[in-house]
Amino acid sequence: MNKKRVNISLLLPVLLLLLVSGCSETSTSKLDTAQTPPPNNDDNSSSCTSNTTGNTVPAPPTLLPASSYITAGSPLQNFVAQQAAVATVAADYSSGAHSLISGDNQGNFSALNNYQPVANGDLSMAVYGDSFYRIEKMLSGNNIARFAFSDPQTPIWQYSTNDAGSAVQSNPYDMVFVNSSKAYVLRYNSTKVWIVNPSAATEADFKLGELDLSAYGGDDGIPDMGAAVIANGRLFILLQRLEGPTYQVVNDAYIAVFDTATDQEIDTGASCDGFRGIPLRVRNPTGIVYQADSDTLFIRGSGSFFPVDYSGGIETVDASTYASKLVLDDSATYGLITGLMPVSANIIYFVGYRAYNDNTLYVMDINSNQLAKTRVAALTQGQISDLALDAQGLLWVGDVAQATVRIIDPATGNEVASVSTSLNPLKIVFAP
Amino acid sequence: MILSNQQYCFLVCLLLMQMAAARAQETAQDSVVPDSGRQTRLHVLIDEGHIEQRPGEVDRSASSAAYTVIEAARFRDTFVSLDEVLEQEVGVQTRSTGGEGSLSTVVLRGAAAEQVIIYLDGVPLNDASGGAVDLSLIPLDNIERIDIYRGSTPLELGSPSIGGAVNIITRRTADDSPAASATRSSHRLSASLASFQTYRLNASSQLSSAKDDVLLTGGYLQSENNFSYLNDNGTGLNPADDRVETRNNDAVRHLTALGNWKHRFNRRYSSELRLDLSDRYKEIPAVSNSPDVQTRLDTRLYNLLAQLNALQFGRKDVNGNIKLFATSKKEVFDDSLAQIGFINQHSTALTRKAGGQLYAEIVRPQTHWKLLSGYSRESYDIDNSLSLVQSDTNRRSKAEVSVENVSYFDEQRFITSLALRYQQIDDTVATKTDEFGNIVPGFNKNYRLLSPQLGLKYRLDRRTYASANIGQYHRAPSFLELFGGSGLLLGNADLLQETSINSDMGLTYGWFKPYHWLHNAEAYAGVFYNRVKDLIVYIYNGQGVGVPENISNAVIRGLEFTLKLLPSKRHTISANASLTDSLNESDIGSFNGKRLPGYYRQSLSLRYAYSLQRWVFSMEADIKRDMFYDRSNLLPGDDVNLLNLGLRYLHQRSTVDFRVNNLLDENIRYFRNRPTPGRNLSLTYSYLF
Repeated sequence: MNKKRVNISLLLPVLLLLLVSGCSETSTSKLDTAQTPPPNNDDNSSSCTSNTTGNTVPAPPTLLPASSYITAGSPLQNFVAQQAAVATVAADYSSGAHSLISGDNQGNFSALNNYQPVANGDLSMAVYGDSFYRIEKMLSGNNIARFAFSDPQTPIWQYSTNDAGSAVQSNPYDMVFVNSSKAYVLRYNSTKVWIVNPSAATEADFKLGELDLSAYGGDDGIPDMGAAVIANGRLFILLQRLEGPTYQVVNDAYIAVFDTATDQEIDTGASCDGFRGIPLRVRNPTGIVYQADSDTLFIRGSGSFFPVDYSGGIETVDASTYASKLVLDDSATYGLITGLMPVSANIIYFVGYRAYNDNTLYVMDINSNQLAKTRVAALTQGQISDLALDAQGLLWVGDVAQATVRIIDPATGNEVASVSTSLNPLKIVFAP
Repeated sequence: MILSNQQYCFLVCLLLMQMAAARAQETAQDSVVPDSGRQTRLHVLIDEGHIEQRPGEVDRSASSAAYTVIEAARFRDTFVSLDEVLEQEVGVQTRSTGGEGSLSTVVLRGAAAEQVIIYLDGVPLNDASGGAVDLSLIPLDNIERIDIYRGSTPLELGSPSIGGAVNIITRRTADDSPAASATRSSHRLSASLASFQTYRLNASSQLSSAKDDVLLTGGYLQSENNFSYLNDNGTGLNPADDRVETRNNDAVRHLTALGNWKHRFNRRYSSELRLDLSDRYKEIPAVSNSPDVQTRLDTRLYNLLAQLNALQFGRKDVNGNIKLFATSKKEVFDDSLAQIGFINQHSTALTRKAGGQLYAEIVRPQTHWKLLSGYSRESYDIDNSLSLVQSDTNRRSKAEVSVENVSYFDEQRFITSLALRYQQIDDTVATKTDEFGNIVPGFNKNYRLLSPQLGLKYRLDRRTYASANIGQYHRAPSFLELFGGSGLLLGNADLLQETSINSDMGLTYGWFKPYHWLHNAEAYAGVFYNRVKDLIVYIYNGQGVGVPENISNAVIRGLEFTLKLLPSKRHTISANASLTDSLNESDIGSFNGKRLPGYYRQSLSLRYAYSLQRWVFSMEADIKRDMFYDRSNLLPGDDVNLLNLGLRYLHQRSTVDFRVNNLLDENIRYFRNRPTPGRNLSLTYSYLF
């Protein structure tokens, strides 16, 4: 046989193999990068209907008098023993740490504070299973450390979230979990979400892959991924899309949706701008919560701090149909929305930020469009950082002005307990 | 006003009583009238070493302030920086952010760098824009002497400060005495080679004639600062990813020049004109130490000083001087890729300062009156070319009047000094146009500050004396604290000034040939107690927005010891130790009861030098313990264990100096995540002709 002749019969299986591999969806593998394709500009915008088309701005809610209140659920009968991990920061941001709050079934809460201090206190927190994950953002080292609730002092691991050798500080903002061996890390200064293995024994095994969100970057190319949540097998990522060196709030925000099994972006069909994600009417979204009873995502848009611009509010998105609805438009009356926690399908708590030291906690019934100011005096015209809901339905509130976590029973609106965290509480997560 | 009416009246009465007592002393001593105002002032007879004094310069023989003098001989012809020289003195601590040319600041008796005023020939270098003076901008080769005043500020230095003052005297030519008729000159060349690709060249020329002295110096420093250190990769809890790396992006190029011209009109009048220039290019490394970082800070600084000195001006007991000064500083910070900070920056900051000062003194046998009045104006412009924000100029004008009476009793054994200072500071904040074209109006802010000061000194002999001081000092808020930065840093127009009442007592004891084996010795022991109120601290809310507030008071107290021994002319031993403690009294729970950050509680410095013919061997040890990086005292700072060795050879006109610094090879982090170089060598050759 002439060695230079190619046997076509041998080529056919190879060609078939190439054809099949090109058509099949890629499964998750190490260092795979799932890319968001660029916007498709072939849409006929004149006939396109986005999820925001036709929706109107809601009427301002009715503020109930002080004697009235909006309650949710039944009054608390018994406490359940539980634990919470809280990321904390010094008032001057020179240091940070974490605290462990323990509550017994008598309603007694206590805190052990100042575990593993770190410089600058640029921290957040995530939780899965029996571990909490302290997220050290840009000023505190760009890494994540895992601790067990049973041993909050000793790290199980700590891994950097920077790309090796890169000058870019990744600035991790959030971590959401699919299971014990798969999670997503949002890196605010990057266009890429990391897919990670939270059970990795070595740093080399930590990163599994990436999700590419570069298509959502504005003129500066950075999508500003601020928060995320997983619901119904889907990853919902808030993209603030702030612009320029001073983070101007000039672009529409989006939610990118990914299938957590395949890590492929889902085309929600909700946008007429060529993006696959869900367009939001609120700008600068800074928090997202999934309310399971109503299968609804609650998003808080914080608008603009500098200069003050009320372009935010509270928006809901149906987690299945992606239909969205603006439930509260922010305004000078209540201020920018900097905290949000639904306590039931229709009752939400939110923080109105009118000024540096003028934050107030409100409760709102989104069905009746009524709201009331909190009954807790310390949470009116104060400084509030975080809202979190425990398994009993109690609302935990970070009171920065007093370096205290206050626990409120939504059924009465009253404070049932408070715990000092030594440093200011930033982010609260609960043990299962 | 800081003082109540009652306190103010008491002070005025005290001053009047002082005047009456002084006048009584004068009347009694009228028969002892000096033939010239200054030279035969009785206390000048006390020899404190070579003191080249002019009107307006501090007369340390009469001053009760706790002070240290560092002469140029300590650091000439050797490779050392200003912060390394200051570091070895009692009550002084310096902090550096990296290698050669990196930002370095000074802490004095526990007071933060922003609370210490650094003077250059009596002109304050601290800017109204805020922050501490960067010592790395001041080359040692241009320095003749450094005077450190701890806790109290002599009146001649004008603005009083909470921590004290450091007065850097630039090089000048020969002394005031008329030169010989022949013109003489001297020149010096110096070259240094040191670790981390460091090179330094210095040249100076002095020309003197009967009436004129001219000094010209020039210097160039270059370093890559590529020292090795352990990088923890930002994961302080995971040693597995730590690695030894070479420091990236920390290079420096620094060009300096100084020109000084002194003219003697006659025995009584002289003038001085000084111009110095500093042009520094400095790379700024990232905490991650990425080699891709390109951030840099370029600083160009001009200082101009013109001074006219007059002895026996109008009357034979009146001396004075007039000083005019101007400063221009341009800083270009390039972090266009936001590799260091939060936002992309390419900002240019321009600080301009100009002012004048009039000093007059009446010298009588038993009393000495001093008057200092000054006025200065400062402007500050900053522009970030990557931001749409536009801002007008921030301005500060400062007027001050100070008067002091120094009186001598008991044949000049007992000296009292009572001073009163008044400062009026008027700030004008810039009107800004923000990113959306909104006009953010500016506003005015002013401060009226009164600083009384009392000092007592009792002399047993020329080298043994006890002293005590008490005084009130202030720090007005900076532009940044009043008007805010960009974005998350707000200003606070309602800020009060920081105020401190400082007090100290000390005993200096000198021996001359007390034993056959001890040629000379001097010891000092002192205690100080400062009460500071309305400390300004940036407080952040839950959204990370920061506002400066007068949130804390503090007590700072301590002990200081120095010991100098000259067993023989060959051996020199000196040691100093200090113990400084502080207590923060704050509304913030996690700060209350804690120590103030940024200074070491325990400090010990030892120096030994041995001279044998042409050789000089020296050893320096510096040990510091117990510092916190943060106000909550959760982050302990690195301890300091520094050991330096030096060997010098002098031969005719040449000097060769070899040093091994940081023999224990410690990358001390005075600031969190900012390592300084480990062990390093230097070789310096100097030639005088």
